[in-house]
Amino acid sequence: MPIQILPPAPAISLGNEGAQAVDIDDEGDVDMGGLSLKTALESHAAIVTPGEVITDDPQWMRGHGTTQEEGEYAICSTLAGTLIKTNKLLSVAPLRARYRPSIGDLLVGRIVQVQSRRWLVDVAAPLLAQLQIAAINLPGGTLRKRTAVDELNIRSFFSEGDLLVAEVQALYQDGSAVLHTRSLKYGKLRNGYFMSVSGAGGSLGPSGGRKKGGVVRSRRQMFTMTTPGAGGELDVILGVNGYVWIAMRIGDTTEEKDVGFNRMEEVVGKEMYSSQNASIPAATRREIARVAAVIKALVEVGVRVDEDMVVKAYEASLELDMDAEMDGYGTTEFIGGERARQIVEIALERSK
Amino acid sequence: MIDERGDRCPGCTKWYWYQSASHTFTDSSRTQSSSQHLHSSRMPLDTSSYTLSQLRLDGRRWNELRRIHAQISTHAAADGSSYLEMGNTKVVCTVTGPAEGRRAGGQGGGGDVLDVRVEIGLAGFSGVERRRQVRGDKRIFEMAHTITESLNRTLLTNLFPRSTLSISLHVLSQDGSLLAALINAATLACVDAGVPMKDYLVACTAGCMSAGAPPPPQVKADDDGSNDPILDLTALEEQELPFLTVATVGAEDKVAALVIESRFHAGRLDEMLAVGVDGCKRVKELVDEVMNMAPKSRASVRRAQLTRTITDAFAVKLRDLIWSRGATATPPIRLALVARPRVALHCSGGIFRLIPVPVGGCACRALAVGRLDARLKGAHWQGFGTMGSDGRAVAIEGGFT
Repeated sequence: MPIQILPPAPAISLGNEGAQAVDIDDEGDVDMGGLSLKTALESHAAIVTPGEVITDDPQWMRGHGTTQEEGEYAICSTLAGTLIKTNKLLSVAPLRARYRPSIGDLLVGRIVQVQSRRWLVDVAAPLLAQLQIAAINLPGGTLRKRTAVDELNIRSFFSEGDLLVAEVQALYQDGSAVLHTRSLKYGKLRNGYFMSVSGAGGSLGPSGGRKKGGVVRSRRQMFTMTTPGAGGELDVILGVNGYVWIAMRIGDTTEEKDVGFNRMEEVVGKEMYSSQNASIPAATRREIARVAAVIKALVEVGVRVDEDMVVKAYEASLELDMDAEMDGYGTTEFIGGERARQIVEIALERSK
Repeated sequence: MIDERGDRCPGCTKWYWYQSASHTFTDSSRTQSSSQHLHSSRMPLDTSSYTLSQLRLDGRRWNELRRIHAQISTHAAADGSSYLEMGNTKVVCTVTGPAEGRRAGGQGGGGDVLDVRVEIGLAGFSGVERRRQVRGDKRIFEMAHTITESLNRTLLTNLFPRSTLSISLHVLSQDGSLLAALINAATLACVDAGVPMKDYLVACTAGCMSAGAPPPPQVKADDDGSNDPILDLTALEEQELPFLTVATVGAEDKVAALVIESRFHAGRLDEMLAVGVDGCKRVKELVDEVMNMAPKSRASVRRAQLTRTITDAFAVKLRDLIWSRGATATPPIRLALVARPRVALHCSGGIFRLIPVPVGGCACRALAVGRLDARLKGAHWQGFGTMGSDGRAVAIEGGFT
């Protein structure tokens, strides 16, 4: 009595996994003309591993993540990751690595050290970032010069353990970042929840060209979500460094008023650097926790994290709860395991 | 020249390099009866079964590695992490960094290269007898130092000035080749953390069956191979035989570390080193496989496992059902599952329903309709299956209409 059981159908690929072919050129140039690259370029899904010879053709130049012995043409990979070609430059984007700052990145960071004229900020990079006292909005007028009094009161702006959102202004030779918060969007964070996604790093490789999950650059990273019921509005900040901030939105006047650059001094008050949290209602806390769980679920499956995905996954989680309630299973507080995967799948389907 | 006997388990990252690695000890009666063996007076190791079939205590031949099973990204909170088993030696490694270290002197204390720090913790239950953790064990320090120095030469440390890479290794179970396992685990975790390196740093051990004797000038006709060097020693073999640990950079003959803690004839070094380096090449291939399996997302692997579990459960149920109906021949039944939330079963006859049992918030609904088979009409059955590795229960209900 033969029962023929066919092997199970292959699992569906999730989202943009594999959607970005490895050998697509960064600039869009695809024709490389007579390339004789070895293994890595032939199969799209393959990754290169440390020590693997990428090519021994002298026409290529080596970039990040590769090495070349002196007097030899062979270019070897030093990382496990995907190959990226930019014209004649070969580089390897690691599958997983700590965040490497680049100018213009929006970061969430934590102050670890206060020095006389600057702060050192943990931004999940190999080196601590610096924030000069001159690079923040000083209360009582942004455009005023910093004074000796400001230096003495440096802890009144940021002290150890404070969270802030900032932008990378410049980079040093050794790769450490210099931050600034000279915009009303940036500054101290309070009334919310901090989370770090995908380990300590959580960011993408160069130019976001990596396949695995993480926060996506060059999308809107600060956005507001509306929640049903008494949850109110939430501010979500997705730092490129993998640090995420989810906070209750305080209906303050600073952003409602269209402040001109030269009137900034009127709005940068002392309360900008206050460490006092507002009281957050339980419903809002619940929604903050839900957004956090949803982001964690996205990261675990290896899906990109951006505004679109977060909002869609959040909606999916709400609907699932509603469904479960109607079916009489009762709502589950926990968004993880099976439910997390389901949420991600629904979100992926909708974002197509 | 190591046999190609590796086999990969489909669907998961496990490598079954050597399947029958369980210890098989010979019984004492045979041990005594074989005391006339040529080398047994010289060798404390019981070789009664070895000389008979050229096998070692655990059933391996001289050039066989134990089963190597490794995983990366095992700890979500670490920058890089790995879990490695070489036979019964089990090691966990987590890597933090490269990050700016907290130095007492504050700024400017760091060097211009990456500072690699290795810390080894031996679990109290890892050995044969329970032991309290000893602080300041010189042997552990030496191992940590060896790993630090060889990683310093393998990692591209100049890319991370003023940063620290802390590697923390935990030994869960010891059964020989401990240093080799630690090195391999540290390498995997560093690759996972995205620290650039010239090539994999891989290690294994090699031992020698005849301790003090010089190697024979040439191979004699009656050489039964019992003088051969052996690869990848277990704890028992390490106790009895001289051995060395060798680490190489990549699959070439670049030795990064060589640790010898036992006495043997200098003439034996050559062959032991050759066997050890050969073993490292094989380890490198295995480690490379682990990395190549890694980018498959954990979710898709889990999904494949789940699909298989459900399919198997259904196959059993279906077979029972068909046989109970007294059928003599059935059309081929095709069971396939589409990924959730739409779990569907395609069967050439009948309607099936997967009813989720609300354990842990599972809410998958599935309904699939197939063509019916006249002979099985009216049958109805129910059963329970488990779903996924977390053992969630699913009621399975089916009917042929």
